[in-house]
Amino acid sequence: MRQNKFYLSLLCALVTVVAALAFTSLRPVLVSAFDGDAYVIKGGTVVTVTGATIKNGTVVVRNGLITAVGADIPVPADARIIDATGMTIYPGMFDSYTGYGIRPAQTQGQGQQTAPPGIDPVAIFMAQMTAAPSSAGLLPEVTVVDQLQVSETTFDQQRAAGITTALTAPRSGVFQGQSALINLGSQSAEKLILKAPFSLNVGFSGARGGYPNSLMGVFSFLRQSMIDAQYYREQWARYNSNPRGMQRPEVNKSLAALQPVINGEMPVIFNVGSVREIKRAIALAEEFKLKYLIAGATDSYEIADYLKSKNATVLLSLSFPQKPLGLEDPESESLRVLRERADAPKAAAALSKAGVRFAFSSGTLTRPADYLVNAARSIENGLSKDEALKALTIYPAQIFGLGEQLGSIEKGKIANLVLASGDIFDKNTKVRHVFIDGKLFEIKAPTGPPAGIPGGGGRGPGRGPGATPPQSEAPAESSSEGSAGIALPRE
Amino acid sequence: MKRIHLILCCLFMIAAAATTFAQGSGETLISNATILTASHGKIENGSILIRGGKIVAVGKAAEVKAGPGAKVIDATGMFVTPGFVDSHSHTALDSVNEGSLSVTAMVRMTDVVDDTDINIYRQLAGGMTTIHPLHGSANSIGGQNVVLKLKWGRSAEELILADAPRTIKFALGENPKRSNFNAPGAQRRFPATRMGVEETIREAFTQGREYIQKWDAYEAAKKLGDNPMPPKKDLKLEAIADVLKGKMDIHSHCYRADEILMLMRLCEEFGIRVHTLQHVLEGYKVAPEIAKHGASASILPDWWGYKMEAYDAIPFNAAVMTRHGVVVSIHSDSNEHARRFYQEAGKMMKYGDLTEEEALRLITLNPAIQLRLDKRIGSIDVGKDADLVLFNGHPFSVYSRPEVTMIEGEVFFDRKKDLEMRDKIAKEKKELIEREKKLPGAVQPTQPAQMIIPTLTEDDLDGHFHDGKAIRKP
Repeated sequence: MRQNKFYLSLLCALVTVVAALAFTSLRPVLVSAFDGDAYVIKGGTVVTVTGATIKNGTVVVRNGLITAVGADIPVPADARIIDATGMTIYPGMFDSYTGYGIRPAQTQGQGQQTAPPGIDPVAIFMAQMTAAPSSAGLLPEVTVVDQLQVSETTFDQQRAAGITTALTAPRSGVFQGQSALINLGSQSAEKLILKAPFSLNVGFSGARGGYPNSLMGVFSFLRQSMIDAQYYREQWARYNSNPRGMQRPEVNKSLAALQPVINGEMPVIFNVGSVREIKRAIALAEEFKLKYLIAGATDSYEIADYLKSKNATVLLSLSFPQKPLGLEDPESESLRVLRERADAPKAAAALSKAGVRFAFSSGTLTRPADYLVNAARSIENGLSKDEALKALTIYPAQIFGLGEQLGSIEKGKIANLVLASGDIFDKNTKVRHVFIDGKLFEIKAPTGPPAGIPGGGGRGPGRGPGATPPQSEAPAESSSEGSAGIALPRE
Repeated sequence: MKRIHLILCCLFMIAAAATTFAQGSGETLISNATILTASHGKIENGSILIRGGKIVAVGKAAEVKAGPGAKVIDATGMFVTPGFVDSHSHTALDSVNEGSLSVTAMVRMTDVVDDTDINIYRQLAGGMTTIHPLHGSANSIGGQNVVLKLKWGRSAEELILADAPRTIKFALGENPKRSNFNAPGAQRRFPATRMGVEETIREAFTQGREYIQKWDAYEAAKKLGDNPMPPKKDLKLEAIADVLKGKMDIHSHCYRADEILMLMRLCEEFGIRVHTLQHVLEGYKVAPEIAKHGASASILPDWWGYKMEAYDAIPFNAAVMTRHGVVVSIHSDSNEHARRFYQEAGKMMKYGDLTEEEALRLITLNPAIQLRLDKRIGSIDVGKDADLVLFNGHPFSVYSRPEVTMIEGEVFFDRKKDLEMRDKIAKEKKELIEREKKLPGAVQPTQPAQMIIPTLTEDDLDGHFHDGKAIRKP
């Protein structure tokens, strides 16, 4: 045991040195490897989310579940005790729309409209025209589960940011994949899955080298797909009810995969940003009576009442638009672009005020550490702290049909917990420990704020310029922006 | 004191409400202007009365009387024209060409209307009120077009003229045969010749005819009491079938006389006609044939020489075809030209001696006829939409400019208000830039400025100017 401790501290020291050298923060260290372990978390403030907050409360974890919560409860003798004095305990946070844990090869963007400066747009246009036709991004039967690749360290940065559960799917193409809800632990992918498939994710960026390669082509493609799926349903229904004397219809994987979607059993998640994209998505969903959720929706502050009238659910991106680095003339940006940047953090408050059901997601955010920082910006821009916390915990749990298992600290729920040094929305708060499926991850904070970062020192690793991005996934959120020009107020 | 404020507040609100009422459902009188009706000549010292978004009276100022409480616009010294209609535009679209296949009749421009496109406002400032944004010209048969009223500030659904007759884009010649768009190493798309374009359209028509027959057979079987499996609905063939049934008008991009004759003959073979020829650069060579077929022509006034098939242009095209009885309009095909459309029309008085009214009709009544919306827009007549432009001088003078543009009686551009707005915009912009500078580190930029690559359209590459985003071929 002592030897273990010695190696542990040696390891810690080593990692510290490496981190300091590389401006990288420390990796969370896996303390326990046994699912069956029992823990007692004592002395902290327990924010249960669904019930009252318990000062000096105790949470008991066993076999991956929360077995007891309260102020004064008996402590099992065999449990490891974690002194949480001075800490605040939260349920694990959800990231309700990401591309975490997917093999990078599967996530290359297609039909992207952006390129580094200096590349000839004509060359890119021609390259798109010469690309070999590919069915990538056009197959609804593709599942994310088949693309998950999780190692012990894959989700280090997410855990360090207090994120324990995610809805993940690639984010390019039209049919982007059937999503999976996973816990961000370190076991094999199969053990992390909470629900898969949850949804069919749909975006509006076209295919490469073939039809559809334009936005209107994407809509026609989607419409025809739904019509074909309805026809397939009818063909098989007729055949099944009276097969004698009837030719057997052909089996089609894509049309079979669309059946739960057109029957309203599996929701579609539309990956959209601007107001008009949101409206187009909703119009399409209504045309084919699809169950849907809207992901991204950074412009949704403009149409909160409309979203309420549609009874829409929004997986609101906390990836706020940012000023481009190295912008020479700030005046060159249009008023519309400037307004969008100023107003994006107000979206959550607007949705909350209008009574729209929403949960937070990281969208195209590349650093998990920015996730809660931006949630805090939503609070600064008018969202109540209570709503912000719920949009990270119980709301997504309910939206995903996991309200009985996750989203709050209650007896019988999955032991996804975050032990933080204080209020989770305070910029000085550090995440100390994270439980996922009852498994303890200890988060080592960096020794100081990484150099060169104004206002740095946020929670966990990933804040510094040397911090490695979590995944190499190219942010390919579908967007048809770019009409900026001189903006005038719209009367 | 507080009470006075409250009373003042209430009074102000009542006044505001009253003003809104007067504008919304009350009457507006444009008085004492020179009215260019585009349908029945010029009226000096004329007035126009507007109610419920429609023109309810037009005539000599003394004859047109407004009721009490009408909003009066004194237009003394001003010229009033119908709002301009652009029968070939690519404005307010997020995407223009589905260039993957040579027949894409299934795609619809209604799906990609961009209600935030600043060109809507800029064109309003040039008197434009109705536009016909078309699919691009990359394909023999392109997509289904849309008609928009330029109600800047409204959502796409409110811009779209949902009950406008449906139209579809066809294209002939260099663009659909991809003559000028061959990337090295790229697989060439069929068709690669003018013969191939003809064959592609014929094949599509043939498929469309078979599709109609299949559905007819199904309907007949159903009538007999059978329960047959219906044919599979195909969005592409549905559109072609509608073309063959005359439910969707063909607007075809074309340049050369031979291909113009080809398309007219091909359509006649299938019992239909080309509704509007677009560009029609060599239309003057086959004007009698065009008139006989019954097609109208929508042209670029005096552009030429930007590709092989555009060499045989003459600026007399509009006049020659008009004199042969073809309904001719001028189109912009450009966000830039659309802003000074009236000057383009004016040129046509010089080239071929069109009368003032004939020239004005090129951008008002004639494009309205081509969109089959002439019962509703295109001239200043009783019963039509009050889509009007108030000029500070004669619209064909280079010294004139629109002061006010209204759509359905509502002012959507007012030069005075625009000037006032500029200071406000500059101030807000400055404030937002300053505010951003003060934001904490976490929201400072992390990524280098990305160049947004505009969605290139075939027409951009064609050498046409598309609002500065044109990438011209050397």
